[in-house]
Amino acid sequence: MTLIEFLSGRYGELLLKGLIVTLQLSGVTLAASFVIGVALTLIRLSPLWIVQQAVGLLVDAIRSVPLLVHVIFWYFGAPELLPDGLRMWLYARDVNFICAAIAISIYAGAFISEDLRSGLRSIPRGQSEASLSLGFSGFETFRYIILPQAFRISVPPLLGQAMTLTKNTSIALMIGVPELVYQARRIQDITYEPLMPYASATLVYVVICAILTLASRAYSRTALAHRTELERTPNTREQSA
Amino acid sequence: MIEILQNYWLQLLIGGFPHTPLGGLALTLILAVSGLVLAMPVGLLMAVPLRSRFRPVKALAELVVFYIRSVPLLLHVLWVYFLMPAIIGVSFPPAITMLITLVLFNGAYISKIVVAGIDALPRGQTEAALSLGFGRVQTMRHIVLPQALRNMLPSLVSQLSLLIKETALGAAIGATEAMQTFLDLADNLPGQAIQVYALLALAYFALCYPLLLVGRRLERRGSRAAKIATEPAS
Repeated sequence: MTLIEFLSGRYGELLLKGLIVTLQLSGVTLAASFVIGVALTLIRLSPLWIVQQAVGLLVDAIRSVPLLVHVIFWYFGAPELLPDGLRMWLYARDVNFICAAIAISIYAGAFISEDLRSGLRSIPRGQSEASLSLGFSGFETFRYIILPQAFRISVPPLLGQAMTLTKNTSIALMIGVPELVYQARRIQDITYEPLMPYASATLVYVVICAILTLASRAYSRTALAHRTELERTPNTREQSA
Repeated sequence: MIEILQNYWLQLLIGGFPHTPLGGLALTLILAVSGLVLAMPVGLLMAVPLRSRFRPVKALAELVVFYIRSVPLLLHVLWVYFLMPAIIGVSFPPAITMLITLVLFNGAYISKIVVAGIDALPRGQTEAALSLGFGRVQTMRHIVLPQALRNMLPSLVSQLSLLIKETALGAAIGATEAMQTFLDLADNLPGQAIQVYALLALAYFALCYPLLLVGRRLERRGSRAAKIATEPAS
């Protein structure tokens, strides 16, 4: 059986369903983790030392625990802590998907906030000093001078996080979310033949990552080409599993 | 939580050993440390073709590294677990499967770190060594690598903390490392599952957080050293 024959049949359909769930989960968590990352970064800019330290420790703690532990906690642990009404509401819905999305969003959000923070920190002090001395207020300086530059620097690491996040959604299979790898395993259980389903799933991930890698390269070439002094992108921290 | 620790600490630490193969946190540590020790030379070896001046070799190496990095670790684990036996006819216990996967996976990441570290070194170092009569290999071995390795240290430390977290995926194929051991315990203590998960999170935190701090410290020291080195004497 060739790969084409395999994919055009019933199993292709299952894998396609899995791909759709993977893309949904990636999309939802990418948006949510970006919001979480920005929020954490903004809170960390607080002038209060204790707030900075507390959020910093929280981010480090989230990053120190494997994603699988986060996922298991949000799926098996957290619902127990909810009031009955909310729990019923949750279980009436796609609880696996929701819990996986929450866990991955928080985990990736912590990594994104680190990337954004090192983006912010890589802006030379002279920028804000010059802007303040030109009469911009503190907020205006941040909004018009610092943020645009920091964001531009953060785009390549953020695309890297998008790639890692997409790969990390595969961990949701451990709590039964029917994403791509889950479907591949299911087909293996039906046919007792691992090669075709795993090869197909692998191919899909390679294509997704190739697209994101090309996007990242294109961005670095065009957007950063004329900004030599800022071209050094900050150290990215992979989320990994 | 304290009570769980008092009653089950030995099981969490070493699994069912000596009645079953070694498990628990001990297996996690062994996997992480031996994973890194083996992934270092693999990463160095993979870096050689990545810096080859022979285009096809370089392209092929780039392709292999890209492939390894773009597929989820979980999928790699399943490949090694289900397909290696089919291809080479030998099946490994889950812990060994996990180790093989971790070594290849992290080797690919380390090779990228090594290449970046070598490329970051000023060309003058290589040129000076060559003009002093060192051979290519000698230059690499005595001049370039020692300096590059020092620059790579922060990245390598954070790679180790990733490696520790990645061992948790052993639970997907039934390797009885910390993740699996704690999950089994949570199954046996239905009312206290949350506390077991909290302990598990704490265990990983205790392993990874110090590495995070060490990595950050090395990074800060490294960037200061780099600044001193590049600043012209005034």
